[in-house]
Amino acid sequence: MIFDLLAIPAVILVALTSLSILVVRNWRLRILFLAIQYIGVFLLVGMSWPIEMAVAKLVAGWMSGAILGMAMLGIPSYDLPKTEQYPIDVATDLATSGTEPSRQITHLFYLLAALLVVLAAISIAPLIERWIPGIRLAQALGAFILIFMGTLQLAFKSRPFGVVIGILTALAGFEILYSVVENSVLVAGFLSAITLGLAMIGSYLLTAPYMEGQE
Amino acid sequence: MSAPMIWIFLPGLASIGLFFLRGKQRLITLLGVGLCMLLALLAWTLPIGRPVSLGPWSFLPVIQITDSFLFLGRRLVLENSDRSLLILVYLGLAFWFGGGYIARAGSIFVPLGLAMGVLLTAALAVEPFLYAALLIEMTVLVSIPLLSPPGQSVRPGVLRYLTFQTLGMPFILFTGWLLTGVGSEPADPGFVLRITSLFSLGFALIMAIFPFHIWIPMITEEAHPYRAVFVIFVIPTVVSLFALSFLDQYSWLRSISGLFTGFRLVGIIMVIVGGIWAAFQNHIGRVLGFTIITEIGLTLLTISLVEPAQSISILAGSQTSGLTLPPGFLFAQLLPRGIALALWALALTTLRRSPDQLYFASLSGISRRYPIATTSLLLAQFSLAGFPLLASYPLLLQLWGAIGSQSILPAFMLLIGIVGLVIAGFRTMVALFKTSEPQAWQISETRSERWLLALGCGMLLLIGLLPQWFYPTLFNLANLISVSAP
Repeated sequence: MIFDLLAIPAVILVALTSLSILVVRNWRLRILFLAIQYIGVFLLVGMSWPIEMAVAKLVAGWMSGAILGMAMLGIPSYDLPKTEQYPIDVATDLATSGTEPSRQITHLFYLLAALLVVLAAISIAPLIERWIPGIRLAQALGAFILIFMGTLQLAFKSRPFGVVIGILTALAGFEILYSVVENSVLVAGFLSAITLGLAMIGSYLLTAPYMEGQE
Repeated sequence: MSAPMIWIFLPGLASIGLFFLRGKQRLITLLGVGLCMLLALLAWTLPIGRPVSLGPWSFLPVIQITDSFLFLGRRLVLENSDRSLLILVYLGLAFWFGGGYIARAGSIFVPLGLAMGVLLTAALAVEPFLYAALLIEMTVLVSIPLLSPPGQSVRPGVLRYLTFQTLGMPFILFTGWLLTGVGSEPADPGFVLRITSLFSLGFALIMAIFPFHIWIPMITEEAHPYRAVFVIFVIPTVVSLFALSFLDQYSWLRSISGLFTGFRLVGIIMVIVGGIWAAFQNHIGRVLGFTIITEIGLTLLTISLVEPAQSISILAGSQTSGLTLPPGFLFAQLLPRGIALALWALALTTLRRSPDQLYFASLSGISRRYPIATTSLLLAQFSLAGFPLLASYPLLLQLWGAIGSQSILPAFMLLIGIVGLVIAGFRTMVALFKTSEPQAWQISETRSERWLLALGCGMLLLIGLLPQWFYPTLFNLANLISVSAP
């Protein structure tokens, strides 16, 4: 019951956090938003799953954030991009030529892209209600916002940290959809293991360049 | 004792154990190859589900290897008829691991490669089959350190690979959910369309089918050639087995109009894209990548030749069929392809020792320093391009004939792709042989490299010269699809 009441706030939460992850550059803030995003995922998954299974999703998400955070702490500070010192993404991901687009244009571009994605999610979500029996509109909306925003991040980000967070975001959206049709504990466990596995691989990819070579 | 315990859990534990020995590469390789050979031998000799005496004396106990193992409420099933699959998997792993030591694939190659083999075997054995998608994703995660080893910067190809493979998993899971409880063809065309779309997208993402193939040349350019080819060869091969078993289990899927036409269309696109792009590359690693794309296209073309009404297992089983392709054709392709790709990767690893770059410009005259590696590379490349008297030629000719007998246009397209591969081969040959200054011939390959490369060349030539000795046996090897269907 409580999950039904919190459904719309959860959708707004996942939309805002996924947008923030896209725009914000500072890795600490991005991990924070990822952790908050998983609260929204927990609320949406909780509409279909027993609370103890939904909590597993939340814990797996938080742990994956912690794993990525610890890996980022292990990277020598001199090797972090200079833009990390700014809280907001300024340019580097989009800079393909010598002239950097201004900060405002970058933000505007991200916001417009995110708006398009949210509009696409709003238009698709009602259709999914016919395809997946038992799904609520809020779940479909939240899921598609996450899937599309995750895909958007995958398109814009080229470093392991951004890519892994994009994959985790898209996967979280899929997990909301899948929770409606499958409530097997084993599948939930496997999916949580994959979430953690992705975070571990992400942390490996972040730190691998600084490890001792083994060729 | 159960079969999954022997062929899944035991090697799984061994892979974990080998990981902790990673300082001792020679020992790891010996143990890995030995274990895989032992498991293949056990699969050859031990019947599953029947009593087996432990020795010639009557006082020794008689054991029976059961075919299933209950794991967290789900079943892993390896039946007696799966033994040929197990032999193929573990012999293949032993083959790759043996070459890995000489190719300096690193000390994590055997433990992670074994873990990949175990997870993929589990993916083929698990019931219900939707868990296979999760196991394949775990295999992908395990394979990442092979493509991006410690001490090297992460390249975009690895991230693309991880992204596409991970995005493919949800589509397979949803296909599995949609198919649950569906015994015959559903009446709702919308439902059929949804299943077809999800199935096609999921397998296209995982098997690197056009347009999701772009990570292959990126990885073969960036990563260690031997490890890259191992991952790219193993995962799509097992996933294609899984996809075929999927089609075999839900026979009504095969009657969906357009499915096999789609396979053929995508297969032709991949052959053309792979062949033409290979011809224009200036990096041998990328040429290899585009050649692999062509090979995936050829696999799709082979699958597309199945009549919708017939069982897909005719490509693997020994049933007689009206097709021009002999039964087991799909699996017969694996031998020449596997040998040629491994040989190519080993030769590239040898050439990469110096000058550490595989661009045509930086390899000028290298044939004089590495003549055996150069010859091996060219033989492998021309074999995959279907050059006469080399291993892939008889199969390619048969496939071409089968396609041509149905329609001339796809056969012509196939020819364009193959010509592209041949041109790429000649360009590689020119790049490796041309030299601006006179240089004396010398053999710089190590002794073990020489032997292994010569062995690979010999096998490609032998299979190509005496196909009647090898291919009938391979055609009969099959039975894999129908029996591996989860």
